[in-house]
Amino acid sequence: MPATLVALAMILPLAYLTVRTLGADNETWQLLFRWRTLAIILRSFILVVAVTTASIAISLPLAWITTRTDLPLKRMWFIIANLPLVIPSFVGGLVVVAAFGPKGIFQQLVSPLGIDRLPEIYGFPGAFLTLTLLSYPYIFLTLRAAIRRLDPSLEDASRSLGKGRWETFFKVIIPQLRPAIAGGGLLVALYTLSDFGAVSLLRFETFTWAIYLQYQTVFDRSVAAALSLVLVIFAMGILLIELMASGRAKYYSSEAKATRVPSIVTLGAWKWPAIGFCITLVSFGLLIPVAVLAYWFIRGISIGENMGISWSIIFNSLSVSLLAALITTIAAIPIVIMIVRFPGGFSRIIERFCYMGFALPGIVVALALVFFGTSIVLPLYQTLGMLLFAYTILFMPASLGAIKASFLQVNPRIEEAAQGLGNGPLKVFTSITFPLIRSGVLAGAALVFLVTMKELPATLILGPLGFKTLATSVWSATSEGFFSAASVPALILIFASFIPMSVLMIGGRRSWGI
Amino acid sequence: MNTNVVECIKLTKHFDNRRIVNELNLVVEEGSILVLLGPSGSGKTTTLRLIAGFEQPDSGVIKIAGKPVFNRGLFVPPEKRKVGMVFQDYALFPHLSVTQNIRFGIPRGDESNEKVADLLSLLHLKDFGNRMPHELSGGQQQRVALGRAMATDPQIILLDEPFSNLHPALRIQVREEIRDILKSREATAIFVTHDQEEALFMGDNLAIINDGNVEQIDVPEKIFHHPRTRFVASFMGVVDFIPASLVNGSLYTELGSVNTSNHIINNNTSNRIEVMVRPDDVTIYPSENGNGKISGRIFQGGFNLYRITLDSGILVHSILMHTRNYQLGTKVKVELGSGHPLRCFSNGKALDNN
Repeated sequence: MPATLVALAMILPLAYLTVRTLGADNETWQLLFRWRTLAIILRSFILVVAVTTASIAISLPLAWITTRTDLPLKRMWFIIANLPLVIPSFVGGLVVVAAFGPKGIFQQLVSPLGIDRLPEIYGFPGAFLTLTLLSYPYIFLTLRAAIRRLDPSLEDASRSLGKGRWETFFKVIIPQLRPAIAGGGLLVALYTLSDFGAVSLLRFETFTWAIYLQYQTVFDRSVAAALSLVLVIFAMGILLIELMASGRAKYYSSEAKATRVPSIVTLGAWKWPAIGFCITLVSFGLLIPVAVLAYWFIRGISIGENMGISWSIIFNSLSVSLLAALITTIAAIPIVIMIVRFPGGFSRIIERFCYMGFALPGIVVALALVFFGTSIVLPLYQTLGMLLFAYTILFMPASLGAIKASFLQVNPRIEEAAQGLGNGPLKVFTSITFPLIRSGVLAGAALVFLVTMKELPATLILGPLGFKTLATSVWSATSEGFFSAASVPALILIFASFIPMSVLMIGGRRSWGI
Repeated sequence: MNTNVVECIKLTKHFDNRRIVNELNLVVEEGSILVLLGPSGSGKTTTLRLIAGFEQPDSGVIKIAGKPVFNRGLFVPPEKRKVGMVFQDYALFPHLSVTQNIRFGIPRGDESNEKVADLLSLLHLKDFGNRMPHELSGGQQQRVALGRAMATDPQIILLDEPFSNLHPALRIQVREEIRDILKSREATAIFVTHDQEEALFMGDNLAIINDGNVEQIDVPEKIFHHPRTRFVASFMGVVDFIPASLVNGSLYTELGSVNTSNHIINNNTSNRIEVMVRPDDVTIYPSENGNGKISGRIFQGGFNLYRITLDSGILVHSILMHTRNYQLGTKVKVELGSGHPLRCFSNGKALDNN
């Protein structure tokens, strides 16, 4: 019963958005079917394809050399390669603008040499660069896990059938990795499609940025709603492609898993290019961002600029994130119990509903709630409650994933044993089940906390008047060109993300949408 | 005939300072199946992987069809060795159909279709060509793995415990099929197992491996009845050893004088001799003044295998018809009643080398 309520709440905004859009008048539809809309679709499409392709191109060799070769310091490269995950996309956008933009560091460096204009960074190049460098770890992580799961005897078999190393790689290994590439690619594609921070700061008008502009500037919000619906359809399309790309073969290796350690390839002369590749990535994904932020921070202090950071902003960020983590976790637990202990058609539908947030861009959820709030539950409009509701919809999948993974490992016989000893269901849950899933629940909560801190579009749109968080501060300061003011909350965000991130990494947990 | 397809000379391989294969020598004759039999960790699988080229030996020589594939300074990679491998977990390519798996190693050409069709019918897989590996039973996967290995016309087929993932009931059926297929193609093969019954069934020759070395290589009958070492004897079925001593030109144990070859009596210099007895060499009768006591019984359907504790504390086994039932603790008279000379060992080595 509680599970059903939660599930219904999860689809409510989308359902409302659909109804509202379909009921729109002719004028709205005419506005939607114009060249400008087609251009938005094309730009989004090109960006998604380019970022996903580039991420695969980076991740495949990186995952390979950090698992199967004698690359020095493999474990260190692995950890560092995942660190871009702690950088929110709007911080990425800030770094790119603050480094390569017209007022950026590089322009200042080259001005004395008589170069007035660097190549344009706004638009596609900046968005592409930023999103690729921030999102490739999604593919890298899934690929690396898949490479480690590869059955080494498949490679041996191919070799003894007369195929050399390269032929074996392309004919046997790549096909085994296809589901991982598709799965990681899906994450990157959805990340790119729903990203608001980077594309808005780099002024590349894809769906999310277009929807926001429409929402801000035009009084009639029907076009924004219609655009949102097109974006949702786009996201569903990506999910569909992923399903097809997984292919017909069932990828599993036999139950009696060979414990043989796969052979390690000696890099030889390739060692230096490999190390160079790792260093380049680390510089772009981590060193340059931190250095650029540090530069503007120090510059801001040295010229005595008002950095405009107040404790209330930090407090806002921490408290909404904490509340979001708490609410999402409490809402997720009955769902997980339902999915795991009472499987069937109905609970599968409930599960689907709750994973909706995974494919829904934040801006769409925010907009749907705006409509919902202004026309149905007016008292809730522009309250913290509405914002927290949006967070719950968006980050439910992250929480569900972590809790479900640990719940699946609890043998139902243990619960039955406790019941057989005379305990009621509630007592069984509190004394047996919960202690066993606690680590999963905590991991899920940490994840939600982390992603809420970094959330931008829903916070911008749904936050109460004058409600500022670290994320919105970075964004608005950057939009206005105050890089020093933006650097402080950005650095705090990166630093604050490190802690839950390292907990998750050390715990070896992987989950949806870090 | 009788040319050696595979030859290993003083093959040695270490992993992490542990010597897994230790100066191992073996030969495989053309058209024969050699079984490598030994306890787990004895180096059988490593030997196989050295021959296939998946591991590089530390020293020694490997020749395939008379040509060295490993030697000082020479290492022929696995794809150039013309060796077919059947893996313990089958290692079928999960993204390829049965036909595509079998075709994988065949160079593209006019004959490849014919060849695959040929193999499919040999393997009784005619109607399964389009199936994916996960849609097959364990036995069928096994046959596909064999077909894939045979498709390239390898000089030799290596099989690494291929039946260990199969259900015991299925195992007996599959091993007959596999042996028939190998024999119908007059294939040369090396087969690794730790199951002695399987080894006796599959092998034209057996090599008993212990601590990375071949203890004995011979036809199964010789291995079973004429083991060269105490290890080989104890690895092949139930066997007991009774201390014996030479008195006046005859060999005596606590069960009386022993029928053995004159060669031992005339040439022996050691005084610590052990006689090997198998359960069918030992007969027992209930007797109040017997020299042993029944201390265990294993019912084997048609037979009873009794364990007898002799007065000296030494254990022997005796196999009797199921109609002869004795209570535990029954006093029995134990006699060595074999119709053939018994084998004797000293310091773990057989005293005659026939």
